[in-house]
Amino acid sequence: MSTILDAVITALEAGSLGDDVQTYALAACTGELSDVLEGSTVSDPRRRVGITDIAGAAPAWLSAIRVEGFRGIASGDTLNLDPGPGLTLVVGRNGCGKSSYVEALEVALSGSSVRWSGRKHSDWKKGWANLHHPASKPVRVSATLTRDGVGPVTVTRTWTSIAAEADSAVASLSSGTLAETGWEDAVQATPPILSYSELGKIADARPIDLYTPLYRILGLERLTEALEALLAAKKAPEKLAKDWKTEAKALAAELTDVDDPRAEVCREALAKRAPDTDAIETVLLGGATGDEGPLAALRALAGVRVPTPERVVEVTRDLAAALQTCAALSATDTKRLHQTAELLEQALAMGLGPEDDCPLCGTETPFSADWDARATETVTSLRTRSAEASAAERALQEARRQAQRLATIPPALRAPPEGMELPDIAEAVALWSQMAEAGDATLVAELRDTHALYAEAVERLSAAATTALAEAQDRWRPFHHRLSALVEQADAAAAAAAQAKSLVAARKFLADLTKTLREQRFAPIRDRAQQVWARLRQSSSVSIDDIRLGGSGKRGTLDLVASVDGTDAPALGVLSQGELNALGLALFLPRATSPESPFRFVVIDDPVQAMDSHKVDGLALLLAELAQDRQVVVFTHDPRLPAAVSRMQLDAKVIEVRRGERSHVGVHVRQEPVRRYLADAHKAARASTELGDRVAGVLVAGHCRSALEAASTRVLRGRRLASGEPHAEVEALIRDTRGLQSLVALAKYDGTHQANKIFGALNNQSPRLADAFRAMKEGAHGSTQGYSHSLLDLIRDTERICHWVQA
Amino acid sequence: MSQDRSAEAWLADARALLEAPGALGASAPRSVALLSRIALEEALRSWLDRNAPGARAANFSVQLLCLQHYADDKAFARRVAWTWEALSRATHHHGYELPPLTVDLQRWLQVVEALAVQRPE
Repeated sequence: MSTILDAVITALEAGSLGDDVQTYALAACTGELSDVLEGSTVSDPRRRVGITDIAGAAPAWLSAIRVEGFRGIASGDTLNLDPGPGLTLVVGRNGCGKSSYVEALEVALSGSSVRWSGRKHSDWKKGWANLHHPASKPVRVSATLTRDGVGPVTVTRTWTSIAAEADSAVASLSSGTLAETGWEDAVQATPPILSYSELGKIADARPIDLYTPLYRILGLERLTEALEALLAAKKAPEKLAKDWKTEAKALAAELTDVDDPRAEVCREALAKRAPDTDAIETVLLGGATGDEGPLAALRALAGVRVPTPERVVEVTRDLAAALQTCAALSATDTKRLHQTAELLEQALAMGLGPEDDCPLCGTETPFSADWDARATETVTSLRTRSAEASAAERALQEARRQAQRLATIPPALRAPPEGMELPDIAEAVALWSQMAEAGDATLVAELRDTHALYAEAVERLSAAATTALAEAQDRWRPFHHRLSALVEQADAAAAAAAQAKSLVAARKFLADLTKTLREQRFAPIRDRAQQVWARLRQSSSVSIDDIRLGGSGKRGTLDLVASVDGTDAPALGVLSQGELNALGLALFLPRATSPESPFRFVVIDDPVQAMDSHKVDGLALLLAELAQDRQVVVFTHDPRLPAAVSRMQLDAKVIEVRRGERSHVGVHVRQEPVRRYLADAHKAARASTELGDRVAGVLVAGHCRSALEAASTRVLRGRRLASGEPHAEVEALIRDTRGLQSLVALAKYDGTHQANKIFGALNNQSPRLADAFRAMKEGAHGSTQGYSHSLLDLIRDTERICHWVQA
Repeated sequence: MSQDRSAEAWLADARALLEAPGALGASAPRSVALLSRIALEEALRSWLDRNAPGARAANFSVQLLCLQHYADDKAFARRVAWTWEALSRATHHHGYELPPLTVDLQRWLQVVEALAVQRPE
């Protein structure tokens, strides 16, 4: 099975989603969505896949859990385990610190614990620190895992902030070497730990409480988190886009009531499906309605300039002066002056001398010697006078033109906008416009007065226009601001809308994928769970016909289709607490032991709980079966599981956790009981100097007696159970049998009535064995004087008796 | 049986072992229980000698009945019987029953001590 990221990438590559959508979907899965949305550079998730590939991680076995100052364990204590396939039972009473090891392992590997995560009451979150642990010393949990072909690795988490709540405290701790191992995903996907808290959750009745841990088992949490992240992430851009649209709509509605040509343009621009912000921007920049329309007319009116009085005076004076000059020259016949000059010039050109007669009038020799000079002078004078006359004429024309031009009416005045057609002003303007065609005399006489009238009128009109314009601007200003804000945010809003859309698409994609993966991943679990249930249910009349995951997210449900003796029934209603626990195991074990997991170990905290003895037997078999290729570590306070394991002669190592003063927890490996009692006897014998011979003697005798009891009950159980006798009856028989002789007789001869034969039978073997048997009987009550051999002899002989019983 | 050694002597050994398990390690709790039970049996025999002479010859369950019969404090007598049961359970092999806890042993020792110091009125 590939990782979630692999599955996501494969599905993305098979689909045809946009780049944005793909990026969002991936980033949501890698927890980098906010970075992506903020625009920071993000490591390519595709590259990270190689690191977190479960399949690539080396198979790992658990070799030690070390705990210091955490939960029930104060001083540093190590639980050593044998890395490799096999069943290990860690036994201890309630509160002895068993679960502390489980939770320490959970925290070391995952950084959190089911015990506190999701709990509301802060006692759960704060209760992780050990009360006997000095606050100044760091809290430390570590797990040592042995990896095939790679070597051991120790994952340690250390933190000091005792006061903090667990999650924040653990969040800040060093993550050790977990990242290197490639287990981060595996811890999520195939959690190798089923804690008491988790089993307890499975037994809770709310559908979501059943769904959540099961869903968790599927390792799809990354996707769930991604879905939540995407849901949360789309809120901001969605709001931005929506707010923008709302404002655009509101503006459009309000603009219909605004008497301003710009309002109309903007309203139309806003009314479009995709608001035409370019058009609005043009309006805001003063374009679109600038050259025409009432506002432009007002603006033109406000800007109308009239000739200054000084200019009018100047023009009038120039005209008057020109008129005067012309009047003075009016007697002059300029044409004649011109012709005379030409005539004289022609005469001069003829070169007339004193001998010549006048060619015009025939007068004889009228030309004196200085005629030439005089005629030339006359010509010059005539020319000058002629030019002066022309200049005066032109000056007059120019002056008149100037005066008339002053009276040109600016276009703004010709068609004043609505509300600006004041009658007296029109009159003044009309009068002034007449000046453009007025004669010189009228101009000189009236130009100034008419101008005064006109200037005053225009000034008033201009002022009125300015006021009207200002009023229009005042009305418009708020819209201007809002429209500019709208235009300014248009790009952002459009981008936000697109982003929200992409996020929604990414979410839909992941939601669909989640559903598909859920089906895929749950199918084998369901099959295996049904097998396991069949194994565990033993005599239960409830059969689980189908297990389905329904709903999703916070509304997820686990549907158990069950039947009781062939009749359909609501599963949760008919399952007992113990059966629910069994069901929890049935559902959990397949996932934790899936072939894809790099964890070859599975740690189960107190799976027995409310199970009845039949189910415990089923469980023991199941665990032993699992232990053939997995390292199965089971923590339990219930002696029935080790008892069942022993009874069925399943291979298992038993470790005992014991709680001493001030949270010092001791770990003791419990061997097979006969061996253990004999070892205890040896210890007592070796300690005879410090204990005293008498005490050492009774202790050795007591332990030897226990060894023989253990050997006898083992034989008895094995035989009776093999013959099909119910477990409870065998246990009752053992419980009710009083006296060592009776027990041994039951074991050896299968009957208590043979009790009196034991001494004789042992004596036949060897008198020493009979002595030893008597010594263990009496010594356990304080009397050892009758035994003449050494304590080591007693132990050795006890061993022989045990063999004899078991033979 | 073990008349040569007083209940107090066995009790002292049991206490010492409870406080310092030394080399016995994991077997210490069961060892303490064994010594405590011997102390209880010895203390009961002494008590019977003072209060019901001749009763020590009977088997132990009869001895416990005698205590119940002759003792003024019936509740205490019941507690002694119950303690003996508990100590026996702890010293015999019982499948995978777990060894007794320190607090259990302390409680049981107190009962035995109380029995050992009871003087005839």
